[in-house]
Amino acid sequence: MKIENTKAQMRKGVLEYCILSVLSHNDAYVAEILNTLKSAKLLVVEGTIYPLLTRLKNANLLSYRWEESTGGPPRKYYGLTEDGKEFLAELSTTWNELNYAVITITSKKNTDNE
Amino acid sequence: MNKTININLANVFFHIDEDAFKRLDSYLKAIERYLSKEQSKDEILQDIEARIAELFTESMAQANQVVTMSQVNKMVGIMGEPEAYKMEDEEEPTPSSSKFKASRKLYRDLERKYVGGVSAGLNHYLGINTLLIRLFWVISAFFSVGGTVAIYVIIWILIPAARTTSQKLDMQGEPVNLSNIERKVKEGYSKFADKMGDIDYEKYGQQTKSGLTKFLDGLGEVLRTLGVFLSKFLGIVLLLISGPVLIALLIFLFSFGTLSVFELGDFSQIEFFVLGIPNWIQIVLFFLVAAIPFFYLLILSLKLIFSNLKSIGKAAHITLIGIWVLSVIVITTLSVKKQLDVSYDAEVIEVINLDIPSGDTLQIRMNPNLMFSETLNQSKKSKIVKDEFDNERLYNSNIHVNFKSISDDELKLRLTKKSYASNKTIAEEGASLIEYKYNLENNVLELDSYLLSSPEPKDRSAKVEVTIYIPQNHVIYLNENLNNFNNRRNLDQSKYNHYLNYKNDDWECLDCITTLDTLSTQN
Repeated sequence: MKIENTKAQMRKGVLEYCILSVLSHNDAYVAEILNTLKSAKLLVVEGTIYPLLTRLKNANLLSYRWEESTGGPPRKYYGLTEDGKEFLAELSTTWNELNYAVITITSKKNTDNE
Repeated sequence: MNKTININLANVFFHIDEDAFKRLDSYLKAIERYLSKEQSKDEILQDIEARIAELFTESMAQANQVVTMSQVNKMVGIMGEPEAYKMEDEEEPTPSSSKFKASRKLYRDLERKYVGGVSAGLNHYLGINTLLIRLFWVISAFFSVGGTVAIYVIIWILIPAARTTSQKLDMQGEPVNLSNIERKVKEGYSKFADKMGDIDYEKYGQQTKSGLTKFLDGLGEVLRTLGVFLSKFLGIVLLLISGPVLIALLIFLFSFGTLSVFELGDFSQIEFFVLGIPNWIQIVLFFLVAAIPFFYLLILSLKLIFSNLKSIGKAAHITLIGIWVLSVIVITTLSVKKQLDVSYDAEVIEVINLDIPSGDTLQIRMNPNLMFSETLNQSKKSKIVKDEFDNERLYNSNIHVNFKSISDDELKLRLTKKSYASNKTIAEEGASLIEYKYNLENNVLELDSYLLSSPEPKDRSAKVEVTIYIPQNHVIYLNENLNNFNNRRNLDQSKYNHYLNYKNDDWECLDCITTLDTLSTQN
């Protein structure tokens, strides 16, 4: 069991949730999503996100529209669909529960050790 | 100075250095491999290409700047190595699992090589244990007298070694087997269905392909996969034909060739081999005429099976075809010449009454002369010998003994001395010079197992036919040393050294064990 694998798995697990969260405020194109995720250090390299975005789109959680850009190629602007919003709400609940559970367990362990 | 290539990334035009292009190309291909399981692979790849185009545009100071290796490396640093594109719920790829969509190519694996890396490469390609493959080469080399070694060397020469990373990846790609081929056909179909269903693309106007083109693309993929399957199948069939034939030809070359170089065997009775040149040269010529086309068939079959075959090179092609044409010409010329050479023949005939009462048994045997030869064989091969008066004579043992039924009461002997030459007078002279002796004493007929003739001219050949006419019910006893000279093989081995009757061109044994057995069972 490699630590790198476990780390990557943990990160990838919350990635979907984070992408949907980023898009919950306003539509964004890939580079913007990437910048947010990278500044939060959730994502080190960009490659991972492309298959994920397409999967979310295929699952009808995301939709996109094309927009011209200055100088570069046209951009895909992603936004949440109705399904996506519901999905995000459910994920939020699960995440909060999970967050609470993890904090409770790890802090308890810490106090035990002391 | 650098050569640049023009590329179109997500409809943006770039100049890119050649080495940078190679890096980018292999990067994209590697990503494609990692995404092979993904349903909307094409769409993902387009997104990735668009992002790469964006990164390149951002990093450029002015519009017409060339994309360099460092920019590509920087892009890879941002985008991540191809592994990063893998989805988390896929199982880890192991070298033996069939993870990758790109079909496997045969390369020689130099990292695990013993001789040329052929076995290690075949291990990747076929998924068979390397040790087993190596054992196969060693064992089959013994059984085919080195024939498979030749095939090994051919593969060694023709299959390139895996040197670059992408070649190494290709080498370990998907194994070529039936289930994969079936899956590919299905994938081809679903890809086409996927493309049809992906209407979103249409919003983006001109860039995307028309529905018809997509349909044809999908159909093309299915047909292409079937074509690959058929050509591999044909390749295997051709390999199974050309491989063994080449091995057989090599065995023929080495066994017959060696024997005749050392004059251990005598093949001169086979008309096929007589072209008037040393036997081993004829054998090499026949080998070349037969083997070169099969060698090409072998290359063709390997080409069909392993798509990345190297060419053997123009020089090699010219040499091989040249040698083949030359061999054909030499054989044809020599055969025609030989035909002309022996177009005249002359014979001298003698008929002798053998004075043997009908009640007596005639014994017949061959009489060799140890002075001239140790072996007792029929042979066209001539050699110069010295007779008892120290004269040079031409010796051969081209003696043919035949038997015929006759309604007469008297045994008869017919001697035909034949001579062949390119000229009628020489042939006639030759026939008259043939010396052949027999001896009849105490009802034993001794026939010389050889003939002697004049050593000059050399291009003349001589032959003696002995025909013995046998009346019905005359008992004959044949010595087994006649066996090699009796051309009509209607006499099986077991009847020699027995008392025989000759009736209607067939021998009847009077004292063979089988006859005695039937008699005793009847009693």
